[in-house]
Amino acid sequence: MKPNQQIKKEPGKYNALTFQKKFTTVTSISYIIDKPSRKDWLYHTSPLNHYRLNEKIQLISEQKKINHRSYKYQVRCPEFCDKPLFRFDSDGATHKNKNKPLGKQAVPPPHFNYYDDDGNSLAYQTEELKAATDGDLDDLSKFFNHFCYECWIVEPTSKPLTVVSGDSRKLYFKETNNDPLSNIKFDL
Amino acid sequence: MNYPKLFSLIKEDFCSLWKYKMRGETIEVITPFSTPSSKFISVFITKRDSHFVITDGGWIEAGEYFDFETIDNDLLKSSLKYFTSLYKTKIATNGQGKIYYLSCDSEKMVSSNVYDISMLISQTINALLLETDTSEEDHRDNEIFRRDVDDYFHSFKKKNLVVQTNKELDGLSGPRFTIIRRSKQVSLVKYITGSTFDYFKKSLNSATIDFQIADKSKYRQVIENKVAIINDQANGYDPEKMAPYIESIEERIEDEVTPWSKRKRLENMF
Repeated sequence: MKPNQQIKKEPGKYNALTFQKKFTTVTSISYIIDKPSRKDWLYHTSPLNHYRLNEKIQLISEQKKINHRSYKYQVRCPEFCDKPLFRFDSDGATHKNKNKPLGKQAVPPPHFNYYDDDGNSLAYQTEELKAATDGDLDDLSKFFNHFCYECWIVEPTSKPLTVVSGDSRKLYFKETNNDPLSNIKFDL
Repeated sequence: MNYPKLFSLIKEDFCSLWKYKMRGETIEVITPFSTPSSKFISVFITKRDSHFVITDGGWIEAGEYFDFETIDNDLLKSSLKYFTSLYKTKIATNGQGKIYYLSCDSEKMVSSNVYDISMLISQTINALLLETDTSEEDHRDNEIFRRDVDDYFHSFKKKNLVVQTNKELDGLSGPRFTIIRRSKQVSLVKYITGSTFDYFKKSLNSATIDFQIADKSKYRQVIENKVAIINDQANGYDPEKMAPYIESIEERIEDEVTPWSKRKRLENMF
């Protein structure tokens, strides 16, 4: 991936927006709308208030409708950069960290994504993420609070934030056991 | 230098990238092939009766390899059409999107199908991201140029001229110009740029047509000047290759085009 030019130009600002203290105004996240650009994802967005910067920052949560173990949390600041500043992926493709020797470049999900000062997109796993099993990923709130800790999002009360899985309007999780080919008909 | 040893080291590093993850009755094979978006390509294999089914897991259309917000869906469709035909893949659906797959009865053919599905994913994503990246770069360059030229014309307000940028003429929808008004006369200005020759050519042709539309409109009598400013610092600027197109716009505006580096000539015009 080409380095992100905006972040490369202002790495100090990127680091401040991403890793300095931000306050969220919500105490719980529950999905009630579809992602505007992808109807196969549930979507929630709320503002984050940076403790000293005035840029509008967004906290975005998404969950795949057909697999409740596939979800993302993101911090975005569209007026600074069109890509997510920091992201948690519970599932999906393995990230390639180009700055490492080849044999150590693969970072599987669950992982966090961020940018270094040269604008390179990198992924990392904490010990907690390395040890996560499919079953652990059922606890959306646990990984959400881990995400908040990594990019310093502070909840309004002393109680940890909760994320409610799924959509109260309609649920149609089709994948079983995180298997994208379960229940699929092939013409053989 | 012990080259065979070096070869072994390279092979060992490459092979160590092959990984797998069990997902119910399916194995996700994480390959050493990657996309420009820094993702390793995964291929999903399952068995139905005596058949092996080798698939992309629906991940191409699910946007696992790119940021969906920045992708042109028509471009994704056309890339997929080309590469699925090249690799002769079949299509299933998961209710949300398509799953591209190959199947075989023999275990010995699985590797070949894994290779082909990996190439299908890699080449589709490469084509998609290359085009998206070029178009994003073009858009970014255009914006920078547009802002510079807009600022330049806004400085004309000092001469008691009315300047409107990126504006349609009343009752003439479609073409947009920078419009400079002096009493009842108007001058129309188009900005021409492009990060590649093709984008530049498109910008030139589009400007020629916009001037043609204005010429055929009720404004014909009041158009004082038609000005085409070309970005001679753009990556797509190639005066030799684009000479016939420049000639065509010069015929239309009955004047020479104005290279941005020679914009001083405009000061006498207004």
